[in-house]
Amino acid sequence: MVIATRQTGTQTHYRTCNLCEASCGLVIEHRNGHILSIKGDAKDPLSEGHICPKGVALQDLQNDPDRLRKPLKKTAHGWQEIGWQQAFDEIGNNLRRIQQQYSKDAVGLYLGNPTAHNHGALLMLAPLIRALHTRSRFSATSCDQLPHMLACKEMFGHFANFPIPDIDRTDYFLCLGANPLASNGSVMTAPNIKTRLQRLQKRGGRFVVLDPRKTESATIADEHHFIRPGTDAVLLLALLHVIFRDHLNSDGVARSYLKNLDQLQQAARQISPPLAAAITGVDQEAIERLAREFARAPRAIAYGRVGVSTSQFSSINAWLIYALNIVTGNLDKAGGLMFTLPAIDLVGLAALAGETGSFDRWRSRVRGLPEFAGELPVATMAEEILTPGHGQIKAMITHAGNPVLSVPNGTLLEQALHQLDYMVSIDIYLNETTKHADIILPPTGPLEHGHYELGLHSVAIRNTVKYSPPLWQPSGNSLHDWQILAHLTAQLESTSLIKTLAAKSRLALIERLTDEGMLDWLIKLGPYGKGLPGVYQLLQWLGKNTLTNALKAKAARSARAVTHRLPALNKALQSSAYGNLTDDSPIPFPKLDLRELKQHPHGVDLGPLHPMLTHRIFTRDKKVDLAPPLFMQDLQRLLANLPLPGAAHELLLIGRRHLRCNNSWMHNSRRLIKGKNRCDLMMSTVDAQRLGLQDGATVTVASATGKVVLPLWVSDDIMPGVVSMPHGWGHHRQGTNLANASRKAGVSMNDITDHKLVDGLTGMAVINGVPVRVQRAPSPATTKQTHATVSP
Amino acid sequence: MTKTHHTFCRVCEPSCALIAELDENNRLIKLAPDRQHPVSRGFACHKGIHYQAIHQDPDRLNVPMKRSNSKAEAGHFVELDWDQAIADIAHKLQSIRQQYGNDAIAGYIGNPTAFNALGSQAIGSLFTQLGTRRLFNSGTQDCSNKFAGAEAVFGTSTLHPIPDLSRTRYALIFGENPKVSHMSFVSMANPMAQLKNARSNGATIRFINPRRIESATAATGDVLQIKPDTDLYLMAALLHEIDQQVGFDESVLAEHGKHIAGLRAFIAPYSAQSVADVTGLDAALIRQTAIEFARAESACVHMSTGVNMGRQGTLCYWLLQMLSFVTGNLDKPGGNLYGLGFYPAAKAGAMHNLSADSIFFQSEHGELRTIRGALPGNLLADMILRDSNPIRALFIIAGNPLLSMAGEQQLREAFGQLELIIVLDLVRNASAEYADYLLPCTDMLERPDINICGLGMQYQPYVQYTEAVVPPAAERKPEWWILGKLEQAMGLHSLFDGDHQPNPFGRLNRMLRYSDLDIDQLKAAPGQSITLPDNGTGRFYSDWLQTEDKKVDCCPALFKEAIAQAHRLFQELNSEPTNQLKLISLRTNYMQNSWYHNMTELKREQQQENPLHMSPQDAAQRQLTEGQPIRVFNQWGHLQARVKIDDTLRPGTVAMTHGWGNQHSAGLHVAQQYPGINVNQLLPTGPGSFEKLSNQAHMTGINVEVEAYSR
Repeated sequence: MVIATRQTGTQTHYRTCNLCEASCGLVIEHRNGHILSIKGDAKDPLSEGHICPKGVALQDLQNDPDRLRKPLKKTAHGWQEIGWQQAFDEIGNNLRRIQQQYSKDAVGLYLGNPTAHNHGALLMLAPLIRALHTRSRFSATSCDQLPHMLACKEMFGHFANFPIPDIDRTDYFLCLGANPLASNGSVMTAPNIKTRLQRLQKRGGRFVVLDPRKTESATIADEHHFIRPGTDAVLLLALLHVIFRDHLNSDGVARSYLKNLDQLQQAARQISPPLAAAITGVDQEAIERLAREFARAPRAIAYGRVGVSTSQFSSINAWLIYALNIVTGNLDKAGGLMFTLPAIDLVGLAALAGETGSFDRWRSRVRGLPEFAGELPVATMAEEILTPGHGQIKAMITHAGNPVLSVPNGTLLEQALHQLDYMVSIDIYLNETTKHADIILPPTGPLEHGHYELGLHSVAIRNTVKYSPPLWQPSGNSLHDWQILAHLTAQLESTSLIKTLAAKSRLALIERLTDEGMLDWLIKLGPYGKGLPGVYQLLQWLGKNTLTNALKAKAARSARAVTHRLPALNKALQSSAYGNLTDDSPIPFPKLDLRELKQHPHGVDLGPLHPMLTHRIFTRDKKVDLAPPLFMQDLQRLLANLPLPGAAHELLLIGRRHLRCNNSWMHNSRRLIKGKNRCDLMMSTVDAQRLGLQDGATVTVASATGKVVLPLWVSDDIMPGVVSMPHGWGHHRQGTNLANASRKAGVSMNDITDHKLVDGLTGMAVINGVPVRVQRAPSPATTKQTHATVSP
Repeated sequence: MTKTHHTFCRVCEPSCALIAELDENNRLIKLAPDRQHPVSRGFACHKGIHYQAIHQDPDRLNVPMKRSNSKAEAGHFVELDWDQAIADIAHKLQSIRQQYGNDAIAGYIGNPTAFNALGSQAIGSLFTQLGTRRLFNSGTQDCSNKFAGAEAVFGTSTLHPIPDLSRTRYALIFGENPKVSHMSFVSMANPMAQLKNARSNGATIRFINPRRIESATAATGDVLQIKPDTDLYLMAALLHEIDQQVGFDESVLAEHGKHIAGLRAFIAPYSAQSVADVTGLDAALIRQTAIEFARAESACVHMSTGVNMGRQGTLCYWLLQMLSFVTGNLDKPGGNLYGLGFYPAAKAGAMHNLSADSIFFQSEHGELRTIRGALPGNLLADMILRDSNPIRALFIIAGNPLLSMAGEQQLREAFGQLELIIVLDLVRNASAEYADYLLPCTDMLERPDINICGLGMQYQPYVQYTEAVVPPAAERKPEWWILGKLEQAMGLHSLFDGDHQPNPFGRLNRMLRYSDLDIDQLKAAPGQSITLPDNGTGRFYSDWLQTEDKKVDCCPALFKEAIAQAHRLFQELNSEPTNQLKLISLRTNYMQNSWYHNMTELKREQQQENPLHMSPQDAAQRQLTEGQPIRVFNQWGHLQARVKIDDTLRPGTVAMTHGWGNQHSAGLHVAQQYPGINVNQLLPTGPGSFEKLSNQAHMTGINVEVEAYSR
């Protein structure tokens, strides 16, 4: 797929990086099938030329000799390459057999984070989920952004309807438990975030960070305060306490859409600044001042991410962060929290289909943890596999995930996966998780398929749209994720002769349509789209084959619902419901379809975020709920268990992200892992002195779950009482095929996180704020034992 | 036909003689003070008189019981017979020992065992044989600093000279409220009468307490209302001013003292003027007290829990002894004397070659020592939850650690995780809710005993024996029987070894022989009591002092680190905000630590909860009124209570009674009805929360914040 030619032989390709949420534009120069360089694309309307080391390392992924290219089957004689059809047939037979023998729930599904960056996979997941018809579904969501989604659902009525920081126009950015300089932003697609924050400071604004660690972001902030892990909810309540007490709140444009302000005020009264100071470790004076500054700033944003969403009161945190923005008049205001309007408006489409998310419709079998969006919390996945009884998981499908390294108590999960009857992994690597599979199905690499940020355009700080075609067509024998998922779906649907025929014809239809075909339809149908004459047909197709996660369980009902609403929808679309939102955009843009998009390889700028609150409240009463009953109830749990510091010897473990890491993967890229070891334990000087430990010492970190041994990094950039290590390491496990990663293995933080430690409301994993003990590691001989793992 | 029995109370130190009146069925009708007793002479308090309610409490444990459900749920217990219970427990203990070693078994021994001669012996025997180092007792909550202090200064943990009130001209009493507690580390019948008597003989009595205590009246003496947990600096200033204004008794120092320069170096910075702010006392008053004390013809000192439970109880006990010693009042009539009693216990606690190297050892929880065998109670939870060789089995004998120690939440978590908890008690208290085995014990009326507790601390020495007043009801057994049977079942040396009847009094008889007495003589004596010679003088330095060189150590080298810390703490206190509230503990006549909560008689209208006592000034400053709901918090915990305006408190000091918090005590019906709040939730726990020298927990003078609050 040649986009431009600069000189003979050397070709230039433009695309979007798929690795993290920042979605940076890339310029790839290549010749004769070899990548010459990967650089930032200055013409990308969102990323402005920004690129990080991970983007450059995409070529390592492309060229990695360890990458799987053909289906692998585990046999008595080791792994054997097999053909695709054989793989699908065997998988189909086994999964159907297990579901027939035990129950539908006996087959589980785990979706990893990269799935969210793969439009083909996203488009084909819903049919697969429908065909699987299992309640044993899990994803990285429940060790990541679930609390934000629940807050969106409870407050705005839609679980995927995130209000996004309008960072380019704000005067005050209060950042809790997030390190955008390392993560490049999350639930906030904001490439080049450092420059954006510096621009904020240049225009006289303030950037304030609250974090148990003086993060990379904190070093450029105007102000940083250490805050004890797990206490953000208390801090937020105290900020609200001051704001209400001093009558600094203002409703702003959202005024007529708010409800239960009095209940929020009542909640905030429960936590005074002195109490918050005792709990959080943030000065009382600072709490008072931050509250006043935030409320008085003309345009302000409070933003929190993994640090607050993976702690013991994560649901309350997510709620209160949104609430803080709202009661200071910063919702739906330029420079505040705003809603996006992407070219494929998943939120709007799902809502039209009557799908706005679900919570606690059922509970997990073993521990009674609540369902969210059809999924159960990952914290209970191992138990659901290990605990006998009706509904026990006997087989797993994993897609682009490495939960052994990324969910709490990975050691337990390892044991669980090891005892499964059957396991299928869709992955490009033989890694710590997929080694337990019976068959591994490797999809094409990121440069070998098209890329459209189906999810991330919805959380970007600016409305843009871009489609990147594949750099290279994959070799003849490769399948894309969407094709693999479609095949698996067809296998699962083939339970009788007639159903098999139907499944085959649907598969044929999808293969003919292709992912590009589906995208084209969706773009045409979107707010900036050219429109689609066959809207009715499309919607029928949507109802049957669906596109969003949202439509899965209620597909038939949704289809009916959509059909019933058709007259209104047709009218809405034809008179352009989005018209008033898009027409006043300062930037003219063409009416879009996929062909048009391909003419704009750097992407199309659709302008800054617009006020659109009226279109983005999906609650029944069209009100934003400032005090949803779920959270008010969970608040009682907080008040009864105020997380006071207690014994100073109790060290709390938090995670740490590095710009060169991407959760558990990308460690097989030599260029990303070269240099100084990054898998070490960060500890304050005070604690190190108390424990008699020196910088560089080898230490054992033990929790209720297990222990790991790693080097110590003594630093004053971490709060006393807190230690930090990165996650996603631990590549020493036998039986993987990750040459570079296993040479620099590190240890897995999730070998010491605790699957029993969850947010009491959602069952969301607690990864930040795990109590640990640290001591000098006994001797090299004994440390080896801690590396022992279960091998298949 | 009723009949009467002589017996004595075993709830607190005075061990008051009682008359038990029984009906024809040997049922207790009432307990009354024994007016004929030569020493207690008809004195007894609510604790003794109301013991009838404990004896007849319908919630008493009567048969051995075993838990039938998980510790995560409210306890469900089923009965089993003694043979089965002993066999089960022995088997489980053996398997835990084999798998994890001796230290996997621990014991927590409560305060009432100090008043139980046979029980305490049996406990010693069992744990010595189990070979575990994991022993905890309530001593590290109220007095272990005295053991450590006496050990360092006098060379023995069991030498505690008592104030000779009847002959003194001046008494300084720190952190003690005799009217309510009836004194500790002094076994004195009717202490208020003794104090009044001293006063009427012309003595000056000064109490040092943050509260204007009930004991301080016109008939006794006044109170220097000191800031909590600053007694060390007052004592230092008193010594400083004595040295400057009056002078030490150099001849006594020369003859019996050593390291006096060290003492002087320590007190040098603490003039009356320099400690005035930290102690909250007027410098002139401090100076005057020092001069009066030093110039008095005779003067005595005493201190108790209000000082013990602070951060520097051992150093305080050191300086307390120094006040007596450097003024020549030690071993002098009207000063402080050793109360020999029937056996020279002072020798039993002798420890030679004390040095930091010899007593401290390295542990996962920092550098530690044991004090009279006990580890810091504040590490109990840590050694269960955060230890590479965690405790797996725990005996709780006559104790209620959940409510009497800091860190209730943590202890709950820890107890919930133990494999085996064996409770020996009268009732199923809050801690016993976590029991795997509940073993019913005899109460003080159901077992024979002698008044061992006061040994070495008796104001008027005597020894008394009591028979079991009534036979044990149901299947209740004395501790020595239970533990002896357990030893036997575990193949350890036991009183039940051999064919002869066990004689639990054997060891006591050997001790009594020192005074040419034995149990039979006691039994034959009128009221089963024999008075002993009065406390004499003249033998302290030669016989009772146990340092190798027979010198009083006026500045033990062991204190080096603590002394440095004391200077640091002084700076810290000096820079504290002036409005910092300090929580102190409080006792009333309606409680006794964590027990006496299960009797309707003591739950009168004003005694049904434990409010936060606060001075009118502090309340006004925070706009709080009587009865207002509040939240009290600090870094360790939070609780909700009501305000009780109490003008006896020094402003800046708040107080709550302890031992409450029976919300989940399903085995105590009355207590659960009036659960109260466990104030210990506000106390520090874990490493650093106790005095390193003594393992004494920091339990008073705790920084807290108070704010109006209602859910």
